[in-house]
Formats: sequence, C-alpha cells, structure tokens
Amino acid sequence: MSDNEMTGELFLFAGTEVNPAGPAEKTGGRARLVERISEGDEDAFSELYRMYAPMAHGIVLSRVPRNDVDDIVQEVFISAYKNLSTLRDKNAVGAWLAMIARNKANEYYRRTRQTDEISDDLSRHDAARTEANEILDAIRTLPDTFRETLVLRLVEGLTGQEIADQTGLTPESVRVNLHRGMKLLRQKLGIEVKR
Amino acid sequence: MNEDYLWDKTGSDARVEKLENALRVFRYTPTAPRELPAKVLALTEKPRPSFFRLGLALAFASAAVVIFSSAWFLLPNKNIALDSELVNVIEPQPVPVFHAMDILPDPTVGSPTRNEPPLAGKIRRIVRPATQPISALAFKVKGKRPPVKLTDEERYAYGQLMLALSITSSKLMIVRDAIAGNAETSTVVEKKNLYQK
Repeated sequence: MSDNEMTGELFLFAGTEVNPAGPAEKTGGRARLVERISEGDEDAFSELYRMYAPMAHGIVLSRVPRNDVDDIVQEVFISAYKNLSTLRDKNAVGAWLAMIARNKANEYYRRTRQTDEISDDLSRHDAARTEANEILDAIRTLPDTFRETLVLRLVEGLTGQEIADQTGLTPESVRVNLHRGMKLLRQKLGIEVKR
Repeated sequence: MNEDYLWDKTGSDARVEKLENALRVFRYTPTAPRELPAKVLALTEKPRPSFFRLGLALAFASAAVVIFSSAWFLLPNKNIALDSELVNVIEPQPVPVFHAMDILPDPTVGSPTRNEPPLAGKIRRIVRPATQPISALAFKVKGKRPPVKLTDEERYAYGQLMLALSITSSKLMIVRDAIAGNAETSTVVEKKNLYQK
C-alpha cells in the first residue's frame, strides 16, 4: 500500500469536514460578494452564480437524472437568494450552496416517483454518449462523498484545490476522496468490461 | 495512476484523461441565471425592526391616552355647570308662602310670623348663556295643560283634605306659640273654652 493510500484510509471519514480557512483574498471577496447581494446587487448574484454553478451542477448531477439537473440547479440558487439572510458565515457561502444542492437533490427524490431514466442511446446511437452514460452510472453507484468529488473533477473539470475551495471541504479530504473514488471506479468499470 | 494529474492536472494520466473526455458531454454549460422574480427580491429584504416607528407609535398612543383622559375630566356634567361665567349671584327675593289661613281664615288665630319674609340666604342660580337657545335647554310644552275637572266626590275630598291640613297647621302654630310663650295663646285657649261652654 502506498503512502497516499494509507493517508486515504486515515481520511476516509473526513469527507464532510469543512475547511473554515482559505486564502484571505478569496474569503474576503466572497463575504463582500454576499454583502453586495444582500444589498440588492443583482450583478453580484450573477457573479456568484458564475462562480458556483459548476459546483452545484456537479453535486446535483451526481445524484439526479441528467434531464432534471438544470432545473434543480436553478432552484438551488433561487433558494439561496431567498435565504441569504440565514447565512451566518458569509465566507462559507460555497459550503452553504453545496449543502443546498444536496438538499435539493434529496428533495427531488422525495417529491417525484422513482422512475427509470431513459438513456440517450435510445434516441441516438452515439457510442461516445453511451460510454459516457456508463461511466456516469458507475460513478453514481459510489458512496456520496466519492461520487460527488469525482463528478466535480472528471465532469466539471475542477482541480482538487478548486473543489476544496468551493465545497468547503479540506484539501486533504478532497485528495482522499479523489484517490479512493478513482480506485473504486476503476474496479466498477473493470468488472463491467469483463462482463 | 498519476496522482498529480488527478489533483491539479499537472503531468498526464491517460486513463483519467479518457474518463474526462468521455464525461465532458455532461459538463455544465454556462447559462445566465434565471431571472429572479420581483417577489423573491422583495422577500430577501426582511423588514428590520424600526425603533423610530416603535417610538412614534408609543408617542401616538400616549397622546391619545392624555387627550381622552383630559376630555373625560374636563367635559361638564349635564347637571352641574362648573363654568364661573355661567353662575350669577342674585339677591334674595321674597318668596310667596302658602299659609293655611289663606285657605281657611280664622280671625281668632293669629300668626306672628305671617308677614315676615322667609329666611333665605344667597341663592345661586345657574344662568345659561344667552346664545344657547332655550328650546335646547328645556322641554317644549306643547299647549296648555287641560283644566282638571273634579267630580263632586273629588271636590268634597279635596275640601276635607284642605280642612285637615289647615287644622293641623293651626294646631302646630298653637304649639309653637305655647313654646315661645306668646300672649295670644291664652286668648285662644280662652276662646276655645268659651266655645266649649
């Protein structure tokens, strides 16, 4: 077992740990951004949306069928806008948005009946898309912490540090989640290939 | 597996890159945020407690209490006029006294106090301002009271009642004079004795 894998074992249960501190300029900027939104600055809200929409999209995509992801992401930001006054730590707006996204995804399953998602390959026989669907389905079978981090990394293209900054997780937790998630995903995909 | 590439995309890892390329189709495509409804914008601005408004409300409430309590104590009672301008002091005037002798004169019984004016101090009488219509202060009496028509029995009873009153009145005066030691008392008694004879 490598050092990284050993480290991964140690941080296995650190997935929800919040990273309170960050670069001063980033945290101060986020707080100022939230204050501007509270004052009614819609441009500030658009900026917040641009910053965190990929993160919210990735979190929702790791849980919800693709066709409904965009709507839920919009709901996440509208809900955030409505409840911005309840945000205590303005520097933790990313973690707060991530929590809202997770809640909205869970709420989606409470309010809708469980249905089988119709894959795109029924309408168009696109080999690339079929492969992508298979990989995404495999990721969705992973534990929450792993699949969320993997989607943010592999689908949304965020780096480990960006994931940590935006979701509020510690960089160590993100690193562990990436490493262990990739290991599990390879196993999943290898099993499927063997079939 | 290249850990650095997985972490910050430095270096290269063919397997991870292949996964990235395959999953790129699901990547978030930047879109403008959905336009926020005005209602949502209004809801975000929660009303803060305004101490100025609270103070204003308290001031209004206090003023209302003061005004109503002042009005309650200052408004005149219907039966009592406190305004000094409405009260005149008038001199006493002789008041006609009903005397039993006027009804049933008896020359034998005199009343030493008959012609004396009644005792009276200063009388306070409430005079309402002239601007106020009298009709508003008093009941209007429409027409005169019809004359009382007595039957014979009633008239007889009335006469008997007056007689009884006069007798009582004269006896009371005798008693009073006796107490005062009036000289006429003996005369009256003598007269009475004379009648009895």
